[in-house]
Amino acid sequence: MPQLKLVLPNVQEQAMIAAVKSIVATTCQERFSQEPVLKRNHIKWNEKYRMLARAKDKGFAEGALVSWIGLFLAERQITQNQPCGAIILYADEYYMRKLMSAAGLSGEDVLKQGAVADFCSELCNMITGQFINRVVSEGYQEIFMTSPDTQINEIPEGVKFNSDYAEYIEFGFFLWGKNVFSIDLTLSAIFKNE
Amino acid sequence: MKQILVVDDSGVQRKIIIQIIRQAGFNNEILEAGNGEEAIQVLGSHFKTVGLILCDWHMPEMNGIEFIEGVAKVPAVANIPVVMVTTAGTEEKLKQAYSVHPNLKGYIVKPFTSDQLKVVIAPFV
Repeated sequence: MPQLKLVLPNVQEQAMIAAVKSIVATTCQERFSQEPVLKRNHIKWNEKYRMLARAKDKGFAEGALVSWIGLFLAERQITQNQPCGAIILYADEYYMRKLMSAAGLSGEDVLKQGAVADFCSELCNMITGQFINRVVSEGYQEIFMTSPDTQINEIPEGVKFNSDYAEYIEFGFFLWGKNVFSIDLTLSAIFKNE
Repeated sequence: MKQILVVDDSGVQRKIIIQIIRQAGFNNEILEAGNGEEAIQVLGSHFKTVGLILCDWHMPEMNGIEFIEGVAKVPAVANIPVVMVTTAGTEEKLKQAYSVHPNLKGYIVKPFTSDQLKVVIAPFV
């Protein structure tokens, strides 16, 4: 019988870490220099149901990139703009360019205007897709996602998130001894077949 | 030699795919589109010469599933081999893709290795 359940924190954590590791290894042929750092935080609201998403709160320098994708329980909720969660990626611009080079991109592909934001969007897109694939394979219902949006420093209006769930998991990922990017994950209760 | 149409809203991802195609030794001309609507425009003028479509799922304006559904319904392009290259990798998504385009020739989930892409596209280029 399907039951409405929170995706267990350890399932969320393992799915996210496995997703990120596989993407960095496959696309960029890189390995993390240390295990990811995880924290559980209370959501800070910009206004009701709009989560603050500021790179400086994560310790990133001016010019950092912030990409986000909304998570939805049904396709119709995308048009109704009623997300049940979100994945937000905060990334250092210099190290994103380094990751682009590791992915085999060079010259103008890395340097041209908008390329690093595009790469950050695609990274967020792949991480979200892989996270969903792994959670669904654990027996949870299908989760739908939007296309990514990327801004500099912060998402000015905050990330919309229709839930009273008050916590999110923050993941810090380290390459070359540095916190190259961080991810905030928040997901409300979804159905699981049991 | 037939052309390859790469449909993905990420210019960076299109570059990576094109790079893999080139490194694999395939010299086909490559056409690019950033979403389903652009891909329809490209196909409209190249439908006789495109021999393979590589298509992402999540794209703005018209997504990949809407695009391949449209392609499957138009006799002039319905037989062009289509391979999905996407992050959407759940069983339900695979079923949906094959149901809208029964003649789908492959389904590659991102992230993919260059070998995975080469093996799937080799018969069509």
